[in-house]
This record gives sequence, C-alpha cells and structure tokens, in this order.
Amino acid sequence: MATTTAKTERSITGKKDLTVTIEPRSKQARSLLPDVIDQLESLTRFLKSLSDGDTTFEVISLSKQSPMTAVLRGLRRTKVAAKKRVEGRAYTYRSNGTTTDRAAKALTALASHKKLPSYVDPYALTHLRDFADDLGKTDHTATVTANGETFKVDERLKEQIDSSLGNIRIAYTSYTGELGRLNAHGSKWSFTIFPPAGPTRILCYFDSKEIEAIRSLVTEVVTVRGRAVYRGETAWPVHIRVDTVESRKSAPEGFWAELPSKLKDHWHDASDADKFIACMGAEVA
Amino acid sequence: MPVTPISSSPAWERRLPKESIYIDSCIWIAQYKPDELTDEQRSGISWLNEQISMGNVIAVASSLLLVELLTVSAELIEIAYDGRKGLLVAADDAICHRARELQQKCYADKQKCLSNLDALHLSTASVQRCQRFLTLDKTRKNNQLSPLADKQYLERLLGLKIVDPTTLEDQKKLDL
Repeated sequence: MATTTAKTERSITGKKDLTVTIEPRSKQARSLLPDVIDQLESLTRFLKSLSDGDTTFEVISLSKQSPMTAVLRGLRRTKVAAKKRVEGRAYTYRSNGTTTDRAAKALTALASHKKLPSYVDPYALTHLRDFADDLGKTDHTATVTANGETFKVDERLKEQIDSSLGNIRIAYTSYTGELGRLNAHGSKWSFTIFPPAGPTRILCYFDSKEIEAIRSLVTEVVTVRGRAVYRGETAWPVHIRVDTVESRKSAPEGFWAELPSKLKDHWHDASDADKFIACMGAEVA
Repeated sequence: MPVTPISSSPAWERRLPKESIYIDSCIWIAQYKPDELTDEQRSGISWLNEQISMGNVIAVASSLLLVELLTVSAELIEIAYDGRKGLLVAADDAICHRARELQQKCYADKQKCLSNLDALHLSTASVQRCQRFLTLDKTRKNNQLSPLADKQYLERLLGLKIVDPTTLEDQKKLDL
C-alpha cells in the first residue's frame, strides 16, 4: 500500500515542483495546522516575489503527518482567446518552473555567500526571512527541495539573509497605487499596492478589523499611509504597516490636456498672489 | 484535472505606460505664464500634456509641489496626480537621504552644490526610476549646479535624461 502511495506521488510530482518539509526540532514541538499555513504563506510570498509574471502556487500534495511535506507547483496565468473559452473562463493556469529555478539559485547564492541574482530583491528576501522566522517561533525547521537540491531553512539562513539585507530603517510615509492581492488568511493580513510608476508593488499589512473597508477598495487607486520598513540601501520599503487607506478621486477625462486653462481657473487673486510670491521668494508660484 | 490556484489573484491587469516623466515645479509655474515661453516650449508642454491625458506617459512629481505652488489650489494638484495618470511622491526620508547623498557627491566632484529643492526633485525622479526629468531650470544661482546647465554631469550621476520642453517634440520619434 505504501508503495502505491509513493508511486502516485511520484507520478503527480514534476521536476519543476518545489517540495518543502517542515519538522519539529524537538519532541515537545507540535505542528499545528494554522502555524503551518502561516509558514507556507510566507514561503509562497517569497516564491511569488521571485516570479516576473502573474504566477500563483498550487499545493499538489500535502502530507499532514510529521514531518509535514507539501509539494508546490508554480502556475502562470495566461489569457484565453475569446473563441477558445470554456465556461466563459478568461484565464487558464499553466505549470511553470521558472520560479522553482529562481528559488534554487537564490538559496544556493545565500548558502554560499555569493552575489544574489538580480531578481532577488529585498522584498523577496524579507519573505524568506519571515518563513525562517515563523519556523523558529514554533521550534520547527524546514528543508526546501528545488531542482534536485535540498536547502535547510533555519537560524543560519536567517542570519545570511540579514547580512545580505543590511540595516532596518523605519519611516512614516505614503504610497499611492492600485489596491490588489488582498490576503485575509494567516496571522498577517495584507494587500499589495501597485503604483503606476516607481516600485512595482508594495506589501501592506493591515489590522484585521479593517477587512470590510479594505475589501471595498480592491482594484481602486488608494493612498496608504503608515510605518514603512526599509532594508539596507533600498529606497523602496519592503512593507508598510498601514494606518490609513484613502481612496483617490479620478481626474476627469482629458484633464491634463486642458491643464493650462484649468490652471487659470485655480489661480488665486492676481494682486494677492504677486505679493505672496514676492514674500516667499523665487521658488514659489 | 482542473487546476485551481491556492490563492487566486484579483482579475486586474496592469497596463504599464511606456515611460514616466518627472515634471519639475517650474513647468507648472510656466504654464501660468505661457507668454514667457517660446513657441517650441509651449508646443512641447502641450504635447506632453496630451500624452499624459491619453495615458501614454505617467507624470511624476514630488509632494514638494504642494508648498511650491502655493497659489494653486491643492485640490487641482491632487486631481492631476490622482495615482492613475499622475503620481505625487511623498518627500519622505528615503528621498531626503538620496538628496543628501546627491548633494555630497556633487560637492565632492565639482565643489558645487545643488539647491535643496533641486536635489529633492532630482532624487525623487531617480528613486522613482523616471526616464526623463522635464525642467526649464538653467540658471546657476550662487555658484550652484543647475539641472539644465549641468545636464551631462547630472544625467550620468542619476541615470536619467534631463530635458527642456523645446526638445519634447523630438520625443514623438521615440513613439511614446
């Protein structure tokens, strides 16, 4: 019977899949499902941040016995032509191994203290660090097998990530962009904003009490304000702990094209303005 | 077997514009006083405004605009930089750190500095990875560097193109 299960697992597990095994470090440590879900969540965030497209992950095999083993497969979302749609589905998901390759290269570089590939940004490293951190808190360790190589996720890896990331800086700031990827499971609820220019995305953690307000803003353009965490020299935050989220009013059609005439309407009384400018100096209008 | 993702992505698609252009506050000021602009500058700015309106380029600016354009209603600035066609970037400590580095580098290389405002505008454009920085600023005040007069040096330092509105018409050739 055991042989049959093994064969079945082998047949569904592809070369480009990623296997993660989570095991307790001591006999006292127990694998509780909510903890494991949180840990897998951090791992999938790491994998997602390595992918350059619209990639998501499917758990194709999960063994809940100790040690817990999960097999993850990367799926790339692709648009289906209108004529070929089945049951009106606009997208299909195809197996994609790019992220597994990248994860293997990133972990190899970290383990050997070599230069990280360009696609491994502080954002991705922070998620991997979260994964190692979550494991440490529950007294677990994990091994990740990707591309035939096995990597240990433990305190040592966390230290390597920290040395690669550099110092933590914290600042209160704001970012504007489209709100998407609402994630309301696990212990850290989050959404991502996608600014129209600059950083491609910013992960925002929010208080679970605000879920209804946040849900109503999905796909809206918002300005988030809060405590941003920066690592090393990077000028973009790895995440923001959100205090306020404000929906942005859209500019009317053709607003920019008509800007010079609109500016005249919004110009304050000319004589007052001239006095004001004279008082403030040349760099103010 | 149908494949179902464990966490579905929202059905949004990003249509990124081809280019983001940083618009210095002097361009806004110039639009109040079009008589002080040359025909080429006027035509360049109006062409750029159309491109932004059509969503072909993103207009980026610093939140410094709110204190530099005191006679324009804040509402107009907020609407123009609504996070869709225009983006107002907070002059936060990451930007200030970059501006400080920029000023120190300029002094080390040229024994000259950028004004605080120029440094903040240029570092915002650089942090936001804008491809172009649109300005009219070519006068060197108090032996300081100015974006247009010291264009080549600053372009090399920041990795972006500093452009005068008169050259904007040439951008058409770049198929924005």
